[in-house]
Amino acid sequence: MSVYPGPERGRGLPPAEGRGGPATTSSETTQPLSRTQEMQAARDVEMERANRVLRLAFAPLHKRAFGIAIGTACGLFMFLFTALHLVIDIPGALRLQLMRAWFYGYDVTWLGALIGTAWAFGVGFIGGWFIAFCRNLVIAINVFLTRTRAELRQTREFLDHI
Amino acid sequence: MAMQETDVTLDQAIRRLNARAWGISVGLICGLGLFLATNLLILRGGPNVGQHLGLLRAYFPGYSVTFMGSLVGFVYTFVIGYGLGRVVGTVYNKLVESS
Repeated sequence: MSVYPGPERGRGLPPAEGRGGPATTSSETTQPLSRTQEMQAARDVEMERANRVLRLAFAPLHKRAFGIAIGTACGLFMFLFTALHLVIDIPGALRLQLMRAWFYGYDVTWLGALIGTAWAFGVGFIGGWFIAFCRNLVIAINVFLTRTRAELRQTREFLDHI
Repeated sequence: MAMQETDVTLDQAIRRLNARAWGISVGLICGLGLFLATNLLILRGGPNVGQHLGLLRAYFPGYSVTFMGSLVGFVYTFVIGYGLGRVVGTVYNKLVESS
């Protein structure tokens, strides 16, 4: 599940003798190796933490859940707004019944409020789903561009060595 | 297996929205929207300033197309926006947790 392909395994510090150190006994050679392993483990932990932070930063929105959430908020608003008109006689209030031009079956009645809620939920769901889709798309394009640029930079450095 | 469970838990934790932050964000958008719209109309001036926006006083007692009215309207719309944002955050989190 890890995003990061894995730290540079096996590319840690070479054993002491490989670095031109003095000849040592077997018990002495095991100590630097274990230290290398410890460093590797610490690096692994650090990388895992970085992965989590990165995943948090670029986590996609759940489109369906976001659509339902926005739809619920819109539906609730529509219902409460209509109910306000039904319960309280507001002088100079907006002519809400004009909404039926867009929401078929809507009216300033309790049944109309329910129909309006369903309509608002539907519109909100589509809007929310689309917002989440666009947001995820933009994030994905950003990540792709950043990764491609980084890979190109690495390749450029590689070509310099040829 | 344990790793997969951890990943699922992590996924769910990551996908959560901060409901309070959403509430404040949506509240500020709504509040500042009305505040700016009102003040823009005041700055533009004219014979009948904010003829249509002024209708909001039916829903927001104390609101008018004046600077003080824009502050009152900011408070009203911030509260409504906060409620809506909070609903979005809470519903989203519940759905993500259950999925």
